[in-house]
Amino acid sequence: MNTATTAPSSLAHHGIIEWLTSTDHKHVGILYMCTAIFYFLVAGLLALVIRAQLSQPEMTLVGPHQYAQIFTLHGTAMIFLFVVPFALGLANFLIPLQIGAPDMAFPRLNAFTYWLFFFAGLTIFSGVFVNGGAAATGWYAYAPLSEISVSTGGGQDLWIVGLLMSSISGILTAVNFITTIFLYRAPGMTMWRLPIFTWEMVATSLLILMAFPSLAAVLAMLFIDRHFGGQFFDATAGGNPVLYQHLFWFFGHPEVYIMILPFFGVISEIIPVFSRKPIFGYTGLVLSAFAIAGLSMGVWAHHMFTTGVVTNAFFAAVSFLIAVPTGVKFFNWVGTMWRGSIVFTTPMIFAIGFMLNFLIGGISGVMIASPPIDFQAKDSYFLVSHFHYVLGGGSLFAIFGAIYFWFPKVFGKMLSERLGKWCFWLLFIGFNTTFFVMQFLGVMGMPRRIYTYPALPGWGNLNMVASIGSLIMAAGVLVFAWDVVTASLSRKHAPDDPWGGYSLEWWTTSPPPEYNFTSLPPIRSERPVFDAKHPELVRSGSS
Amino acid sequence: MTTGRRLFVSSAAFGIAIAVAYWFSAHNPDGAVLLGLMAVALVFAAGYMFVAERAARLVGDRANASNADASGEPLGVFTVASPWPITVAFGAFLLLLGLAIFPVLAAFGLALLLFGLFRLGRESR
Amino acid sequence: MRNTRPVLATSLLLSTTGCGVYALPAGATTQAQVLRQDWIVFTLAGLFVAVVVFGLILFPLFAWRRRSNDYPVQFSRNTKLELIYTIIPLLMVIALFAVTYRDEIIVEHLGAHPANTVDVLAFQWSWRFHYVGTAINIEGTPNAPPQLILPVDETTRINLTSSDVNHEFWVPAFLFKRDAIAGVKNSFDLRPIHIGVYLGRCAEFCGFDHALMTFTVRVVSQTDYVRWLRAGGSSIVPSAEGSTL
Ligand code: HEM
Ligand SMILES: [Cu+2]
Ligand SMILES: [Cu+2]
Repeated sequence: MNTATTAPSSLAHHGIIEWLTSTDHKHVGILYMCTAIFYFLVAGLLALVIRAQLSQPEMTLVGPHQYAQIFTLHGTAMIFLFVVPFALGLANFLIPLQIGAPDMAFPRLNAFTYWLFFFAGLTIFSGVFVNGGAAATGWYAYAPLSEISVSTGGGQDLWIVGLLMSSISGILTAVNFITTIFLYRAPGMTMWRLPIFTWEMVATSLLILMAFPSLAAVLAMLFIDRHFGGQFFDATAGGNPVLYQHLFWFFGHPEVYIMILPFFGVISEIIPVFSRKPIFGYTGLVLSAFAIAGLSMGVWAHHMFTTGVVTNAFFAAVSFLIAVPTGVKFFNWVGTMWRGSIVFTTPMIFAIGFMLNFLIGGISGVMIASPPIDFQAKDSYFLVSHFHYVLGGGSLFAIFGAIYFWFPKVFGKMLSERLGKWCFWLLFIGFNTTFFVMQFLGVMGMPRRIYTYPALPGWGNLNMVASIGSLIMAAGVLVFAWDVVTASLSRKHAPDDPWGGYSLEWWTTSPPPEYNFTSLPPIRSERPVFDAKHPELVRSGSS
Repeated sequence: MTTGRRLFVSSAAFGIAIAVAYWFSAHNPDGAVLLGLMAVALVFAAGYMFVAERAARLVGDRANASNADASGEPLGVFTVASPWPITVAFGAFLLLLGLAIFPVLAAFGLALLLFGLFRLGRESR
Repeated sequence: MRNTRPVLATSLLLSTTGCGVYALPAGATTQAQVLRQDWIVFTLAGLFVAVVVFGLILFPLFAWRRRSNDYPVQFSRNTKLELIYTIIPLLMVIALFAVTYRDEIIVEHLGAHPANTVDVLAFQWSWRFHYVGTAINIEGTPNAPPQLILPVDETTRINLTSSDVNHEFWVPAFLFKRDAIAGVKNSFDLRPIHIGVYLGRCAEFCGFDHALMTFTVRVVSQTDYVRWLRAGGSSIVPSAEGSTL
C-alpha cells in the first residue's frame, strides 16, 4: 500500500499537464462536470435553433436535412454528453468524500473513463465536418433507417463509435463505483449509514451494468451491418428491425433511470439540510431506489406499444408499478420537510422546483404507460413534453440545485444567492412556458421530429408560446453563467460547511485537500457531521 | 450476510423471477434471452460475492468502529498522476475512429492502445 | 354504447386536456370513443394526484418556513405511515391497469368479418392504399398526399406494413397510431362514426421528408363508398359534408 507523498495543492495552481494526467477523483469529477456543462450549452443552443424553426408554421430557417442533424445532436448530447456524465462526475467527486475514502478504488481506470468519454463527445460532434453531415436519425437511430443503404454518410458511423466509447466508459465507471462503495468505507460507515446520494449511485451503477452491454451490443451489430455485410436488422435479407428496438430499449429505458436516480439522491441530500431534519424514511428511500432499478429492467417495450408485436399488458403492468416506489420518494421528501425549519436557499428552491416539475412528468409518464393513451401520445409533442418534464424539469433542475449546493465545496467559492434566485425563476417560468403547452400540441396531433408544419388551427400560437419560453430559459442560463464567472473571480473564500451539511464532505476543507481528510468524526448515523456538531440533538439509539 | 452480498443475492433472485415471469406471460424469445442473460450475470455476481470472503471483514462494516480500530487497515488507494490513462483512451479513440472512417488510423490507434495498456500495467504493479 | 356516456365527463375533459381547438380530438371512430374514455379516466386521476401532491409539497413551505434558529424535533420514521403511502398508490395503479387492460382489448379486437380490407404500404415518403378484392391502388408522394376513403359506420380492416424503414400510421382524430415495419404485418380495425375529412401522417421519423409524409382520410356515406368502389376508385366522391381536419 502506498502512502500520501504529495502535499495538498490548490486547484488554481494546476497546469494543463496536471489536468491531463491527474487520477485524483476530485479532478476527474470536475473534468466530467465541466465537460458535461459545456455540452449542455451546445445542446441548449441547438434547442434554441429548433424552437426558432418551429416558432411559426412553414418556417425556412433550416431545412429538413439540417433539422434532423440538429435534433439528433441535441438529444444525443443532452443524454449521453450532459446528464449521464454530469451524474457520473458528481458521483466521482462525492462518493469518496461521502464514505470517508481517500480516492476511488481504481483511480487510473477512473481517469481513463473520463478521457474515453471526452473523446466520445469529440467523435459524435466531428460528424458535423464529414461528408453528408452528422448523424440524422434521432437519438435512438432505429434500423433500418440507420443502415448504410439509407444513411450513407460517415456521420452515422461516428455516432455509433462515439456511443460505443461512452458505453464502455460507463460500464467501467460503474464497476469502480460499486467497488469503492463496498470496500473503502471509513470505520463505522456501514452500508446502512451511507448518504442517500451514495446509495442511489449503487443502484445507478447496477443499472448501468445491466443495461449498457445491450447498448454496446446493438451498436456493434449495427456497425457490422453497415460495414461487414451483416444482416441483423435488414428485413429484405431476413433480418429483424424489431430486434433493434428490443436491444435498444433494453438499454434505453434503464437509461432514463440512470439519468434520474442520481438526482433523486441529490434531492435527498438537499432537502434535509435546509429543513434541518434527518431524511424521513431512510430505509424506504434506499429500498425504493432498488425497486425502481429492478422494475425498470422489465419495462423496455413500453417504447414499443405500437409495434404490434410485444405483449403490451406485461409492460404496462410493470411500468405502472414503478410509479409506486417513485411515489414513496415523494412522500419521504414531504415527510422530511414536515415540521421542519425550512429555509429557501437557491439549492432548496431548485429542489422544490424539481419536485413540482418531476411530478408533472411523472403523471404524464403514468398516462403514457397505458397503451390506449400511448396510441395517441407516442411520437407526438405530448411525449416531448413528458420527457422534458422528467429530464429538463427533473434532472436539469437537480443539476442546478447540485451546482449551487456543492460549488463551494468543489471550488471554495460561493455562488450568489441573489443571482441564483433569478436563475431559478427564469428557468422555472421559461421551462413551464415551453413545455406545458406541448402537451396540448401533442394531443392535437403534432408529431415530434418534424421540421415544418402547416398552419392548422392553434398550432402556430402554441408553438410561438413554447419558443418564447425557450428564450426565457436561455436568459436563466445566461444569469447562471454570469454567476459562475463572477464567483470564480471573487476573492471571497467559501467556508468549509456553508449550509450546515450532514455528510462527510462537509467535514473537510473547501476545496478538500489531496487525499480528502486529515481527520474524521465518529460515524454513528447517516449524518456524522451533524452528530458531531450538534451532540445535544443526537437521536438515541439511532442507527 | 453483509449488505453488499444481500444486495447481489436479491438482485439475482429478482433477475430470475422477472425472466421467468416474462417467459410465461409474453412468449417473446428476444426479451426472454435478454432477461435471461441479465439473470445469468446477476447470479454470477451473487456467486462471486459468496466466494469473496474479504468483504466480510471490512472495518467499514463494523457499526462501532472508530478511527483507531482502522490503524493498519488499508485505507484505500493513493495514486499519483499518470499519463497512461489518457494515452489508452486516445488509442481507443483512434482505433474506433479509424474503424469508422479511415482504416490506417485504426492500426495506429491499436498500437497506441496496447502500448498504453502495457505501461499502465507496469505502473500499477 | 360507450359514446353515450354523460356529457359531464366530456366537459370535464375539455376543462382538463384543453378547450376549443386546444384539445384532444373528439374521437371519430368507435374505437376512438373507447380510447377517449381512457384519456378521461387518466386525466382525472392525474389531476387528483397532482392536486394532492402539490398540496403536500407546498403546504410545509408555508407552514414551517424557518422563523427561529431552533432545531425542530429530529424525527425520521413512521413505519405505519410509510406502509400506507406505499399501498394507496399501489391500489390506484392496479385500478388504472384494469381500465387499461379492458380497453386495450376492445380497441385492438379484430372483427371476424370486416366489411372492407385495405392494405396500407408505407414507404419513404408516402403511402399506398390497396383496396383488397379490387384493383384500386392509391399512391401518393410527399407533395401530393394520397387520400384514404372509408365508409361510415362500417368496419374496415387495415393491414399495415412498410417496404423500407420504419413508419407509423397516425390519424390524430382516431386517437390511434400503429407502426409500419418491414417484415411485420400489423392489422387493426377502424369503424368511423362521422362523415368528414381527417388529416393523417407518419409519426415515426423516417428520413428527411418525414414531415411531408401525410395523407387524408375521407369518411363517406356507405352509398357514396359503394359508388366509388364500382367506379374503380376513379370517380370523385360527390359530397363532403362536415369537413373537419
Ligand atoms: C433547454 C431547453 C430545451 C429546449 C427548448 C428543448 C427543446 C426540444 C425540442 C423542441 C425537441 C423536439 C425536437 C423534435 O422532435 O423535432 C427536443 C428533443 C429532445 N430533447 Fe430537448 N430541449 C431542451 C432541453 C433538453 C434537456 C435538458 C434534455 C435532456 C436532459 C433534452 C433532451 C431531448 C431529447 C432526448 C430529445 C429527443 C431528440 C430526438 O428526437 O432524437 N432537451 N428538445
Ligand atoms: Cu421507458
Ligand atoms: Cu415518417
